[in-house]
Amino acid sequence: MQRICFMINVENLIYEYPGKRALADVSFKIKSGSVTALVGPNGAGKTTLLKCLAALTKPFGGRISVRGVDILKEPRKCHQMMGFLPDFFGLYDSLTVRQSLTYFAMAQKLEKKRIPDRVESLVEKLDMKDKFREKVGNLSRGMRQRLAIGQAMIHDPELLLLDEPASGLDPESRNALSELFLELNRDGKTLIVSSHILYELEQYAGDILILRDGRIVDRDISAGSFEARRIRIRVLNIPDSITGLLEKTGHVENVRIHDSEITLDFTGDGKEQHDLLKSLMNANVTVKEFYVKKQSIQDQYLETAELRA
Amino acid sequence: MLKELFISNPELKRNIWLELTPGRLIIMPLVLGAIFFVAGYPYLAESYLTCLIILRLVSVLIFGGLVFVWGTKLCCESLIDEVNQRTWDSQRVTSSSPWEMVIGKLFGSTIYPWYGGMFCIAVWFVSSLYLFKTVTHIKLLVITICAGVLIHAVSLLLVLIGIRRGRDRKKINSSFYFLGPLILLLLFIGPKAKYFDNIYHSINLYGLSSIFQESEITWYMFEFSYPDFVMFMLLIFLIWAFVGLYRNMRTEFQFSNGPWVWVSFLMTLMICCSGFTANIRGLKFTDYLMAGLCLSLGIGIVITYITAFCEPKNIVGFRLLADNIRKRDWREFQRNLPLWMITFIVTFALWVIIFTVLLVKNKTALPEEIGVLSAIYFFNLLCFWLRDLCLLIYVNLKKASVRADIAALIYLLIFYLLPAILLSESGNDALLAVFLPVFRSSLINGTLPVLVQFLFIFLLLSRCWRIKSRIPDNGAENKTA
Repeated sequence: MQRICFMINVENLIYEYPGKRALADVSFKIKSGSVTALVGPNGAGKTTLLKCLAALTKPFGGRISVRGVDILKEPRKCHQMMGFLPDFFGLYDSLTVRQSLTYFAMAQKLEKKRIPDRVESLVEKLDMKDKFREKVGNLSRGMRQRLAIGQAMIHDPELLLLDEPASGLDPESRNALSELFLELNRDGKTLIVSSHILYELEQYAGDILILRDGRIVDRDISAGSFEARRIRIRVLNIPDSITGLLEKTGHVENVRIHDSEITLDFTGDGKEQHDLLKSLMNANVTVKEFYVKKQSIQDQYLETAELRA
Repeated sequence: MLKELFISNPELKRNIWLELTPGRLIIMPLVLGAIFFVAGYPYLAESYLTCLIILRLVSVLIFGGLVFVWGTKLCCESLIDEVNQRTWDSQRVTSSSPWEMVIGKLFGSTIYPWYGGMFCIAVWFVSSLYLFKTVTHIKLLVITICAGVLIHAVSLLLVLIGIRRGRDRKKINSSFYFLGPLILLLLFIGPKAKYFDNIYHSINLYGLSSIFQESEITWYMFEFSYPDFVMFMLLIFLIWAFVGLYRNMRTEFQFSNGPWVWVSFLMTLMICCSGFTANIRGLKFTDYLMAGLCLSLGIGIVITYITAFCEPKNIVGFRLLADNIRKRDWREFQRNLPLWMITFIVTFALWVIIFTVLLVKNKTALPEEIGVLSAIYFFNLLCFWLRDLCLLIYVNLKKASVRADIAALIYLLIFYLLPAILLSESGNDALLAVFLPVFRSSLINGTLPVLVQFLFIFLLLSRCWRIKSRIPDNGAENKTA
């Protein structure tokens, strides 16, 4: 049996602001090499959680470990393993791109002779080669975002914490950012990305962590559950026996009928899906349309939000 | 170690990239050269000594402007800009050590003023070699350089404390942190400033040295000349300023600090100041000891007020301490203790010693009968002290905003000043002991009213604590309700 390796282990994390408990007894684990989307409404505690994970703020209680290292006891050791991009990040506008990256490489204690190579390879990865000698203050919003991510990953950390990395970017830059995250994930990095743009998270996130009112919403939505399909069937006439017929297949849940449209959640595989369609045809149900819609992160998030309300 | 701190220090390097550009490196000596030429040339024909005196004076003034004023401003802004421009969090997650960051910020941000200052130092040094009292002038030069570093360190220290206080604020204003230490410095050197006038107007050859022509200073059993003593004290406080910077930077980098270094600083401060009691002639050894203890108590009380006003005092910190006590986690409790509480504990221990000694010696004699060294007077003092601290915490718990401290300060000023003015105006000086820690007091007109004031504020505080110390909700309950 394959042993699951966890990058982050959070136990009973509590964070308080005066008069408000921003994180209430939060516990979760993040697998190594995963991309986790951290979602939730404004004020849910996403930024606070990321700052706690980045050892930038001391929680009221609880324990956080990164690769088994307690961040409260050894914050610097954890910082060597992680990169953090704050929500409203700043850059040194008076430095050039090369100087910025060199500065952070030195600050992250990279070997002196390795720095130029690392900076160059990173600039190539970030597709910023032509901006190498340009002042940071002259960069576009998208380029600044890329540079900020570059600064966070200059020391090639195993874990990247990104707070709203795509906010304020145009669609093209957002797409390029998604590609970058996928590439980082392919390189084995663990990413936690907080975002409001849910449909984009789907492009790269394999797991989702929903925060609401400082608590993790008790629902496991992961890459596996994205496979849960929602099937929509349009028929000319709905026979009375349709519900029984669908349920007989054994993989159908939550059947909803509205006018001539049937919506259901299907948990079976491709073969069983074929069998479902076949059984409908055999029962002379006049199927006009049959289509499968994978449940997106957004659907799942909204559904969870609905359940909570 | 030194290589890491100075040669391969990334923060220092970043500042060098920004501050020491070729253009700026050329401009500074050109401008300074022009100023020195304009200032000294007219006197060259008169006498080269006069010219050197003028150059020395100009170098002192420019050094002051560059290092003390501009350098302090840059030093404050180096950190405040990081916070305001949102780069500080990125710095805090790097692997830079607290020492590296302290050195990088302290000397990196001020490297250009120091570069200009070096030319002034060179002119000062050379002119001192050719003038009278060379050693004295070199000592003054060393003092000025040390004072420059100290004022930068103190301003950076204030900024670090300010950042901790205003963690949730979007922007921090640098004016206070820049002007505060400068005003303190002016207050310190203000009385001595007249000697600059002497030099300027009468071109007095000895003018610059007049500062050192004062009587010697006795510190414990040691006799110091004025410049030697200033150098000695500057060195001590410079070391402590660096220790303070390091400890505050550690806090920024999420390391925990224990209480013992702060206790050592308090002891140093108390021991340093107690040494001045040796200047009071004709006391017995026990009296010197008591005078030293009383002076230390005074210092402890003042530091308690300063730290209590400077540090954050929100309910979360108090709840955290209460949680540590409940879990009997004394190690964590020590780490979470704010400096004002540590100062209070140390000073209270001193108070207990003084109070016990006086109680044994003078029983419950009234201050009016035996003077200031009465146990009753010290009891009154304790009540005032506790009342003020309770009030400060109460206002902070109640208001939970950055203005709470200002509000508490206004309340305290009203408590102390208003009755004092009214009573003095109406000729009822006898009632002053109810509102001020004056030593003309009795049990009825002093101790009891002050105790009542303290108990009243304490009652308010405990009621507020009972409400505020409940576990706060996270908003979920409100929404579902």
